Parts: sequence; C-alpha cells; structure tokens
Amino acid sequence: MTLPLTTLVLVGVGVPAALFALLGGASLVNRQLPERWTGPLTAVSMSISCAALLMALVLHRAIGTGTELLSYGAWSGSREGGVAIEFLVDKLSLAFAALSAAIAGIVAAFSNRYLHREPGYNRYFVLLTMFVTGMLLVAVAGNVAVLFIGWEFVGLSSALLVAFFHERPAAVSNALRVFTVYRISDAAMLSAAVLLRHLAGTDSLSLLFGRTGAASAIGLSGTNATIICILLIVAVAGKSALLPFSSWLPRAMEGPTPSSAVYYGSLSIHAGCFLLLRAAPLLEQAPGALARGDSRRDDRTICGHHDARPERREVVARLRLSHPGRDHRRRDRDRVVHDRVHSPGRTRVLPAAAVPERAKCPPRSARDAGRPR
Amino acid sequence: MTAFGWLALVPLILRVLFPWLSSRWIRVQETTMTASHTRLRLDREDDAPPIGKYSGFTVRDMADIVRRVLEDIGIRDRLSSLVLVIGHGSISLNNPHESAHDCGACGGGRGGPNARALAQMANDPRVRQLLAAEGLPIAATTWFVGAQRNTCDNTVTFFDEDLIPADFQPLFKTAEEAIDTARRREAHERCRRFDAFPDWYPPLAALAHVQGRAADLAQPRPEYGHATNAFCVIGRRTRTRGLFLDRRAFLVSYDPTRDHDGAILARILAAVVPVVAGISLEYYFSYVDPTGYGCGTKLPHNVTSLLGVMDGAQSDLRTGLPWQMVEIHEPTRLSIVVEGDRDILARVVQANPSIERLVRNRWIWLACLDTASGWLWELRSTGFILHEPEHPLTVVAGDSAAWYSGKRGFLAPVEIIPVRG
Repeated sequence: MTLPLTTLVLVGVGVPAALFALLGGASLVNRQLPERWTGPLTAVSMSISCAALLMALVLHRAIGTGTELLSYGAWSGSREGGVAIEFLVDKLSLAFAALSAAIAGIVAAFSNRYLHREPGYNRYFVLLTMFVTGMLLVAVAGNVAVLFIGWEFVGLSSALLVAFFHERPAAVSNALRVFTVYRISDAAMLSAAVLLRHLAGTDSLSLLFGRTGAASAIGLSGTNATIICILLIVAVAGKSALLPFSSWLPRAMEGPTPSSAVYYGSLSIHAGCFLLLRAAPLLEQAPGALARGDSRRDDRTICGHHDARPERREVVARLRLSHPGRDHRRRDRDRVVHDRVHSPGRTRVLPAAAVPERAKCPPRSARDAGRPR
Repeated sequence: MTAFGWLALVPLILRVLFPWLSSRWIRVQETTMTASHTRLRLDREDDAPPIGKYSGFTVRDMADIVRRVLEDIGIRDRLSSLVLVIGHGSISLNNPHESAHDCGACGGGRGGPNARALAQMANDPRVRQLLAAEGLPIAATTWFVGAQRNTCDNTVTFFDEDLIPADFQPLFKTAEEAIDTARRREAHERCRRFDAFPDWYPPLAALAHVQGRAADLAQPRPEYGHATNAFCVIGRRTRTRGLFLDRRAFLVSYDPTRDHDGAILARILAAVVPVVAGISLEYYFSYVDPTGYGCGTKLPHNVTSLLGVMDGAQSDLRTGLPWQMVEIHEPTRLSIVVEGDRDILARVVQANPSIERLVRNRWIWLACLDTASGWLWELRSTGFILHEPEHPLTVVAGDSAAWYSGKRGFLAPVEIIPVRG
C-alpha cells in the first residue's frame, strides 16, 4: 500500500517542482515561455498537485498507518552521513501540503489575470512556482536537508517578490530588510540542523521530531534540547514575523497583491508555525525554551493588535502579526485543523487587501479578527 | 463552528475562478432582494432655505432645462414617440479608478440620475404646458424614458419603467430589444482590443466576457474606457451614420441648419470642448509619462483612507491614469470637427477665451465641415485652410464585424454599407 502513496506524494511535490524547473530553466537560457502557455501550464500542474496530495491524504487516512518515511533514493552512496530525498508523511504534513497546493493554485489563477501584460509576468510565475515547491518541501520534508532547501526556496522567492517592482527604491529597500531578517532566521535554522546532526547523529526528522520522547531516546540532554529549541524558535520568529523581527511584515506589502496574500496572508507566514508543530516532541524536552517562546508570543499578540493604519494591506499585515502569535501559543496537533479552517478565510484577504471595495471599512474587520477565538 | 471554516473556500474559489458565474449569482440575489421602487422628487421644496441653495427645481427651471437640451441637440420639432435619455457610468467590482471611466465633465459622476431627472421633467404636464405656451409643443404622443448604460459590463438600466403609459409599451419593448442587440454588438467590437479575449470566441460570448471583467477581482482592466480617443464630431448624425470609427470619436449632436446666429454652437462648444480636450489630454499625458503624469502600473496600488491610491505602503498619493487604462492609447492631439459655417465658428471661438487659448496654443485641432459643400477647413492661426483628404474612404459591405473581425490594432475609418438580403 505504500507504493501508491509514494507515487502520489512524489507527483504532488514533483509536478510543481518540474514546472519551476521548466519556467526557471527557460528563463535562464533566455527563452521565456509566452504568457499563453505559462498560465494554463500553471493551472494544470497546480490542479494535479492538489488532487494528488488530497488523494494521498485520503489514502493515508484509509490505511491508517500513522507516520511514514518515504525515501526516493540517496544522493550519496552511504546512508550514514549521506543526503537523501526523504518525505515524512502523516496527517499533519499531507493536510498542510494539500492546503498549500490548493491556496497556491487559486492565487496562481488570480495572478494570471492580475499580471496579464505586465513586464514581470514571467519572473512572477518563476518565483511563485519556486515558492510552491519550497512550501511543499517544507510540508513533507523527511530530513533536515530537504527541509532546509524548501525553507530557502520560500525565503528567497519571498524577498524577490517584495522587490518585484525593482524600479522603485522603496520596494528594493524593503526587500532588503525582509531578506536580512530571513538570513538571520536561516542562520538559526542551519545552526539548529547542524547541532542536531552533531548531537543526535542523524538528520532524519522522523527520528528527531516524529515520535514523542524520541529526543531523549537518541541522547539529547535537556540543555542541548533547549539550545536547539531556542535556535528553532529564532528561525520561526524570523519567518513568521514574531516579536523581535516583526517589523518586516508591513514592509513586505510592497510586492504584487496576490503574492502578498499567499505569503503574508496565508502560507509563508505559517511555515514557522508548521515547523514548531513538527518539532513538538523536541520542544517538550526543553521546558525553558517553551516558556520563553510563550512569553514572546504574548507580546507579539498584543503588539499586533495595536496601531492599525488606515491602509488596507498594512492593516491586514498587522492582523497577520497577531495571528501567528496566537497560533504559536496553541502548538498542538489540532492546529492543523485550525489552519485548514482559517487559511481560506484569510486568503479572502486577497480581495479585501488588493482591493478597494469601497463599502467595507477596515476598523470593523480589524476588531473582528482581534477577537479571541 | 470552526470546523466549517473551510466553507469559506467555496465563495473564494467561485469569485476567483468563475467571476462571471458569481456576478450572475449576485445579480440574482439583488433582483430577488431589492424590489422597492424609488421616485425622484424634483419640485422645489422650500420657498426660502435658511442656508445654501434651494433644493429642487421650479417648473420654470425645469422648462428651461428641457428646452435647452432639445434645442442644443436639434430635435425640438422632430421628436419621436419614444425618447430615450441615456446617461453613462462605469461599474466594476475592483477598480479604484472606476470614476475615471465615468463622466469627465463632473470629475467622475454617473449620468443615470440626471438622465432620469430630465426624462421626468420632460414628461411633467406642467412643464409641457409652459413649453407649449412658449412655442415648443411636446405632443401627448411623446414619452421620455431615462436610462443609464454601464459602459463596463454593457448593462442598460431603465428608470421608472412602471410609469410608462400602456400605449407606449409595445414601442418600448421594441426599443429594449434594439438596445439589447446593440449592447451585444458593442461588447464584441470592444473585445477585439482585449488580449485575453481569444479570436475564436463566438460573438455571443463577448457580452459574458465583459460582464465577467466587471465582476472579476483580479482584473486590472475592466474596460478601456476612452483610451484611443482621437477626434470629436459636432454636427448632424447623418454626417457620421454608417461610418466605422473604431470607438475613437466623441459624437456630439448639433444641427447648424437650425442655428443661424451661432448661439447654440456657443453653448455647445462651451460645454463640450473643455470636457473632450480634458479627457484627451489626460490620456495623452498619462501615456507619454506614466510615472510622472500618470500613476504607473496598478499592481502595487493601495487605496489609502478612501482618499486616493499610493504605491505599496509608502509613497505620495498617485494622480493621473494608470498604465492599464492607457496602454492601448495613441497619444495624439484631439481633432474637433464642427459642422456649420466658418464665420460663425470663428466668431464663437474668438468670443470664448478658454476655447480660444486651447486652439491658439495647439492643445487641440479645430476644423469646420462646411454644411453646404461638405469641404473640410482647418482652423490655423492665419485663418481657415482647405484640408485635402489623403486617402479615399474605404467602403465595406456587411456590418462592422466584417471589417474588424480578427484584427487587434488600430483600424482606419471605413464606410459600412449593409447588405440587403
């Protein structure tokens, strides 16, 4: 029964990756695909990816095997110390991957008309497919190497899309700010990965994060676990715009509206939350880090509620600031349900943020979103 | 309850992927839920308001307004049984520049309420009585109907339909059908300039296409509005009937044979020239300098405090037209052709300093189409110069679609001769 699951997940992740390779490769050799091909190609591949991941989710539920590690071969000969393409599938990762593909597909359809005839159309779609590939890799990553590649794809495409209108100084300087914060976050992430590998002797996420109590089983002491957890929390705080790093989020609204919606309204902003969910067993080994993280998130939640300027997308950005804060505080497996439930609602920000529907007034929605759920 | 949050995906998918369907659905909701009729109250309400101007019009005011409109467009003694007064407006779901497609004369208002008020005034028995006493009889067999055309999705909304007397109903039905055909054809002609509308679509799909654009959240160009405008013809409509003008002309009705002293022409030019010149120059400058005079591309625009748009989260307020509105425009000086007598035109222009400055400083071209001879005279600083046409007018048999089908760019004016069969 694992064979169809293996294939489905490979298709789900591989099709957007292939599209990214095609669009990016064609651009590299200066043979950009025309708009009338890019649009339908993206639509088809996003639909395939979403359908495959949904089927994988259903199949996984049907088999009911729990967490499974799918391996697609190693890049280097020795398993020990080698780098392999491994996907870790369970309820959480498949649901998050399917949701990401669905939302990215909707946003791609929106962007296809929104960026019609725009000079940066091709660049936008290269970056969007890079983002989707990265997001899916983060979702189903089975080892630290895959996770890090996905994490980098998401961060790089995000910064480049903030600078999409690179003829405008404000956009470029804001993109630089985003990029800087992301590098800090990435450095923390990389340090955590290296430390994990050094201390635990493996980079497989299934061993590290997958089972409760696994961390102690593979010899992580409380102190080491705490250090790694703090690094992880720094990585997550940078990516999800939590307190010390939160200033980049309103600035990131310089990019085209649909990309702002998919990055800072729904998916990218939650990659950090997702990572913490993944690391829940490890975090439980490190009570010190937990406490610190919790207090930080309280600050963040409070901070996000203040100061709503009368500018729509920025209001939305500040709401977003508050939301991951609350999300991070929950940190339980039900979060995936929560995410599935609220992400569609927030992607509806897409019209609201993009778009000046005259009748709606931001303060009201601000109050609604600030209400504790 | 949160378990049902995913249901929010349904309207999201519907609105993003199938804008036309969602526009249908919203229209169904609207027609079933809003049924109350409204009426305009045009009569003057107070004798002496404490502050400000009077609200409403006296019968005298109304009679003067009706008389002026009928005289200006030259139909005072040749009214048909049913007169449609159609204003225009542009209504789209996601467009901070929507009002730039509305009336250029009043800074972006819609014409529907004015059309409705004019029709109501002209139908008012007190107004008709007053006008008849002054030598402008409106027969009892004439009825005015106000309407508004939404230039974006080509909907025509009629006002006060329930007040139309039973005698006029068959005629009104005929007019409605004619307008329905016209709006389908107009949608098709307009669609040839939209890249996203493929050549192989059937003409019937064009109306659905423009309706989808109006309802599409992701659509930065709901319509092209006045883009490509190049000239304005002020004269009798028989002069332009049967011509394919590629939607590039402002057509203003004026009958020089009923205006011997130029009084009507003076009124028309005073109203029309600043408006069309303003529209033309707005498109001109937004095209030649999109970042300076225009407001650049729409994509990073944010609506700020419902006051204006700015780029991203920090910029000046952007004025002018966005690139998506003017990208198909051809920056040219507006040519205004006035049918009538050269001397009268020269006198009217000299008497109006604002028009005279526009002409003298070459912001617009002005030319006179001689009523009797049909010759075209260009107004230069030295006087009128006879204009020799460089190309003969092509004649195309069939309908407009026979000329524009399958063509995307600018098209030369042609004369369309219907094929009888």
